[in-house]
Amino acid sequence: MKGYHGKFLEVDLTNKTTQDLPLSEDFCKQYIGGATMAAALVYERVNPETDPLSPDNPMVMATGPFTGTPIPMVSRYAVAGISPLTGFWGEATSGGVFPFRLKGSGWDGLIVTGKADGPVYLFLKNGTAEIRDASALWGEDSYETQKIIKADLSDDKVSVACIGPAGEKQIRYACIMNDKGRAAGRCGMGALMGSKNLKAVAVAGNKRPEFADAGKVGELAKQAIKDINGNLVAVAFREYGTLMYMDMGMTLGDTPAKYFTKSVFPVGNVTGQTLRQRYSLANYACRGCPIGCGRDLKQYKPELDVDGPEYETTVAFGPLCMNTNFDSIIEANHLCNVHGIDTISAGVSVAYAFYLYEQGALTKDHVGFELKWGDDEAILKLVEMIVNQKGIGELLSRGTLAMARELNRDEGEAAQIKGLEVPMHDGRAFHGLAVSYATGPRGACHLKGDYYNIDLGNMVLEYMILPSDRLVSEGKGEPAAKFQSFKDLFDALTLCKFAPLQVPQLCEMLNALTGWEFSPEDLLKAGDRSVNIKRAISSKFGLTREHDTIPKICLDALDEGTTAGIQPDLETMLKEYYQYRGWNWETGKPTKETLIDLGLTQAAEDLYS
Amino acid sequence: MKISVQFHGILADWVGTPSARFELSDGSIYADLMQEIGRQYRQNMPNQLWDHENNAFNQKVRAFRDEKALDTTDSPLSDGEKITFLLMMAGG
Repeated sequence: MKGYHGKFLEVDLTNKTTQDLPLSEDFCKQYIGGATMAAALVYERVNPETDPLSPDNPMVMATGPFTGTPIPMVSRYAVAGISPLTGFWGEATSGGVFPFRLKGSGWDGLIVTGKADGPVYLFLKNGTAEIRDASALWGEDSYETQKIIKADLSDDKVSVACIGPAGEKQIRYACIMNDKGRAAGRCGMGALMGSKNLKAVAVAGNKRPEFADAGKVGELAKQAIKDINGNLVAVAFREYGTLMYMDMGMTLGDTPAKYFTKSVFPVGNVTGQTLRQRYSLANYACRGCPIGCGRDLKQYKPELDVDGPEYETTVAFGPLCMNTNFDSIIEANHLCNVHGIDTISAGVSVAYAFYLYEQGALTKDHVGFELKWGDDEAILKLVEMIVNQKGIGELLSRGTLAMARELNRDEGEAAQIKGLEVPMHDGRAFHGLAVSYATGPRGACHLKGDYYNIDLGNMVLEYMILPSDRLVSEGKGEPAAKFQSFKDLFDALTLCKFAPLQVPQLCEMLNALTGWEFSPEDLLKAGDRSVNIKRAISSKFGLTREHDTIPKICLDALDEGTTAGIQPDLETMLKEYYQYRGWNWETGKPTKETLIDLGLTQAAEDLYS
Repeated sequence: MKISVQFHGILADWVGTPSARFELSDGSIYADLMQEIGRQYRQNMPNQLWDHENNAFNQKVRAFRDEKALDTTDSPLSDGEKITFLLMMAGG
């Protein structure tokens, strides 16, 4: 088989064994790779009784056919399992060098089951795998852990993905960090890793699968780099990172403030321009990326590795908490990174605490100090309490849904969907995003699909996903579903969401790597299959149509800004979405016919037996 | 006629100013404004921002007048109008 190693590494930490799991070409063709292939592997290994933090919940790390190839913007990997935060399908992705090295280790990915009897880490290199003692690493932060392992292995070409102390404590939204500050952030995959006593995965090696047409791959990669460099999007990301959107997001009502209750807020102090002007920055690029949207803050605290906050993090600890102190946002981001927690779930939970305090549901007695909107010191104290599991921090570390339930609040106040906190784009500003949020395979997800990019003027012509009035709901359900499928594929191929590449290019690339003959229609069907296998997993765990919703706090019309008085018509869009997907309106499950049509026969049997 | 222009967000950095005023002859259209913006500012812009062939911004930049998009190059302009340019891209 071309384009793949054709095998995963299966690690049973309980019995301390490793073995190869061969992949058939049909399996690879069906599930492509990355998060989609991970879903197929998870599907076979879980049942509704599987506790997310039990040894039975597999943790899958997966690359895809693009990973480690000369194609630009593809050094990404997915980590997946049943989410400790949501109890449904969970996945997260990250870039950096780690994915490139993981593929170079000689496997397409790994499946970890069981639980070690003490802290361990895995070392994979050129087809050999070792389970090594990590007792001395337990308690180390994520940056130190990476440094220590690299020194321990005396190999500067080792790349490490690890958990910080938060993952060890199994904080529900703990993440997995790699290459200093890159994060597989969402869904609590760090807690899953911690529940296995697995501190880190270190990878090295130079094993690369053969390509079906290496010459063509080289040509396509060269053209893609040219296309990317000629694209204005690349210039914006290179110069300002993801923060380039801050002003624009606020203008459009897409950047939430004051825990989703405002859409007008002075963001001048916390923009990409401010970051550039006030701090000494160096661009960070994932392996093979010509853009480099990441930021290292070189002089902020020279003795430390400090990463610049992304747009999501900056909004979560900034406008969402009414905070304009950039230093405090950088500090909060750094705290989250070294301890290893998702900045979105953490920021939203902190903002909810401020909201609850204003409402009188939390008091000084609960918290230990006052919570006044915009108090940057209070924000940092709360983050510290979360990562250290102190006082009210323990409740905040369980996410907004748990907070609402614990405090007997209306669950519509909890800014989450399926248990995953809502990111920093607002469905009231882009109605296509609202239906994407409501139906996202892992819960509230701004990346699959990022419909704001469509209604800002982009399009996927092959699938007739075209820009339209961002504040109109009718007609958005079907293109949003298609776009979600298309973007789900990015995490199967392992392609950066910012890569401005076109559908025909992606088909040509996949075909040149594998020798297959994927058409744009085949690619979309693979994306539909991806969304459905993930849906089938969550259906096994009790997901219904009632979970396809948006909480009141993120849906009620605001009285200010460019979205004043506007509320998406979610039901209309959901009906259109369900019709495209072939899902049952009563149960929320994919119909038997849909599953069979997509080749998901086992899921059809399981869900309808 | 006098036309006020605002360059929003990072466009201000790229163009070199957050706002500008242009004195155009009576009967000018949107294309005339673009001609003038190009003449005064395009030297300092990132190459990808300016479409030299059409003498206009890259298509990811859109002009708005009274919150409505101004899409056609032959749209007439009126004295005292304010036009805002926005960069239509998102990330993060």
